[in-house]
Amino acid sequence: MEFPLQEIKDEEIYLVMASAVEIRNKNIELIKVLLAKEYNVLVITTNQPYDILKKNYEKNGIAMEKISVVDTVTKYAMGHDHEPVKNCRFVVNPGDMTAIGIAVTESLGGLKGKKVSLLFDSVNSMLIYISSQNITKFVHFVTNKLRLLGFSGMFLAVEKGLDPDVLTQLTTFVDEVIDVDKNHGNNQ
Amino acid sequence: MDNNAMTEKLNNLEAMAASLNELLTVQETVVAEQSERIRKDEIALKESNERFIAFIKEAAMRLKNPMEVVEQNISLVIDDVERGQFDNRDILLQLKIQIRNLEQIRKNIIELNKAIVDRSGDFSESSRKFLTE
Repeated sequence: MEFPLQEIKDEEIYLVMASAVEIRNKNIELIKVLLAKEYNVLVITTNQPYDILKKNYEKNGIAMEKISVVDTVTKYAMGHDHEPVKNCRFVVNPGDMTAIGIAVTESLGGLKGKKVSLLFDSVNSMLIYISSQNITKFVHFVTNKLRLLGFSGMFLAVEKGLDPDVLTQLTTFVDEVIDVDKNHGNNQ
Repeated sequence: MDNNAMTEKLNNLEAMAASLNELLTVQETVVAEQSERIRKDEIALKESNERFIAFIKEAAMRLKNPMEVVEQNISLVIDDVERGQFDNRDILLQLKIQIRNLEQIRKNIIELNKAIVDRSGDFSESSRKFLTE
């Protein structure tokens, strides 16, 4: 393992910092680790559409059985509905925090009683559609939900893309910050 | 010096003291007004600086970083095309997302410009229009 994710603890929430170049790979590595730990994973994707995400997972030997998705980009990009998918909720607009909040709440509600982790990919791509002030509120909202339900969570972000004050605020909502690049460097 | 001359001198001195007192009061008022004006100017300057710093930070997060996201996404699409990993439909979808991202970045620039233009009287109508439309 390139970083100590095998040490992640149940019910804890992490902010995972990666470089912009590596963020797609880190999504895959995180999913693999979470599935190996028998988590059901809810992916909130604000950058990769469901179809591409699914193909990338499958190419990397990741089965979709224990993965559900809230996709905020497909409908917006296509301009029309995607055919219904059992394990995916499509939100119309990536800037509509209320709709995303409802989709996340419903998806998490459907996973009650299971071992669950949420993977948010990513804070930076969401910043295209939502102000830093609102994204902080949104992360706060989601982390509160996770704690109430006793679920774990991973928020992917590119460190260089965040203002230090915003980063400081985000770190107050999580239990730990994992700097993937730093850990990777230490392991070498 | 006789008594009259002495009295006159005293009266003059009293009048002079009263004038000086009055002058001091006026000066105190002027200084107080100027201090208040300086204080208000300092607060306005501080607020303006804070707004400017907030603008720069938000602009960096909502312009520089998103541009990097789009740049990275497009180069991943190119990698996918080169490797022949996805069909045309998938490539088109990924490119459509990048177009939407760029549209939103343009809207963000206008929104940030509006925040500055609306608070400043220094822009001509044509400049205002150019920056916010």
